[in-house]
Amino acid sequence: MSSAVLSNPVQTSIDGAELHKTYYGIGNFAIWFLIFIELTEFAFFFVVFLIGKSHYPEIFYQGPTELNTIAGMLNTLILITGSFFVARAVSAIKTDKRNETILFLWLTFAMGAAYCVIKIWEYQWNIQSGFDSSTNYFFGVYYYLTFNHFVHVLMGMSVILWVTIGMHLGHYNSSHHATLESAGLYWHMIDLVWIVIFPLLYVLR
Amino acid sequence: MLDREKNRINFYWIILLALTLFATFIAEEATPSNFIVLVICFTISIKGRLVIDEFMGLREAKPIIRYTIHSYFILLPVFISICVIFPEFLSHLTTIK
Repeated sequence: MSSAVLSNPVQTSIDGAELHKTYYGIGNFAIWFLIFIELTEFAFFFVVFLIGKSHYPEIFYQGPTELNTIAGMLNTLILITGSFFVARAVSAIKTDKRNETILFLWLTFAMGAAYCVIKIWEYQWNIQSGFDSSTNYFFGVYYYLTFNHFVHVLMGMSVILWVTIGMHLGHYNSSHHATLESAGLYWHMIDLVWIVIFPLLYVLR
Repeated sequence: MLDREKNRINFYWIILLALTLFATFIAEEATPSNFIVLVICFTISIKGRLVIDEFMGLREAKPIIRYTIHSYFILLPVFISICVIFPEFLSHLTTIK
């Protein structure tokens, strides 16, 4: 490696990202480590939920009927659409369609915001109906699980906002977009977790 | 080739929305039964696989990563099915005597 490249930290970091891409195919060690940690964390929550369900069958049978299924379903559609937009953004950057990439990233961010609005409305609806985290074991786990996921959506929105700003500043192009791709992978992970949460909490009795 | 990728992503988005609506409709309208539990868990598995392969693009990833994430969406729905259909099994395992 020439001394000119060594003295340029941006170039060195790009080479590192591309090296990771060659090794992992997509993403890098950091993002895969984070995704596996997050998926494991949520797997433990799901096990706790199922243990509770096996010990308190009546409460867990009644629980989903007291939730707002429409709100849960809308949030599922919104997160899937967010995943779709981020996949389109990654696809657009591969052909250097800068404006299209920026548009899809903003649409992904908007889906995250829509999810948050519906989730807050749903929490208010629950509380007005007399269900809070101390109502019973089902609602305790429901609030713990969904609020934890809500926090992850906020983190995902921050990551998407970060790469959107990076796009506006011209940091990514068809050859160098590993960070954008990793941000997309994190967003997909949030969607994957909700794909399990929605049927487990709202649908299965 | 990239137009084909765009069309593929669009197609699977519609499929995922349809699967979500289908599972919700079935769960709301049908009487709860073991068959419905299996249908819903199968839907979780399919939706997970579609997001992993078509949106995340893990076909291009290192096989160990792809298969690990895939196995999450096989093992978890199977575990959920067993625990919902046979709750006494998990209850017995987790009771302190």
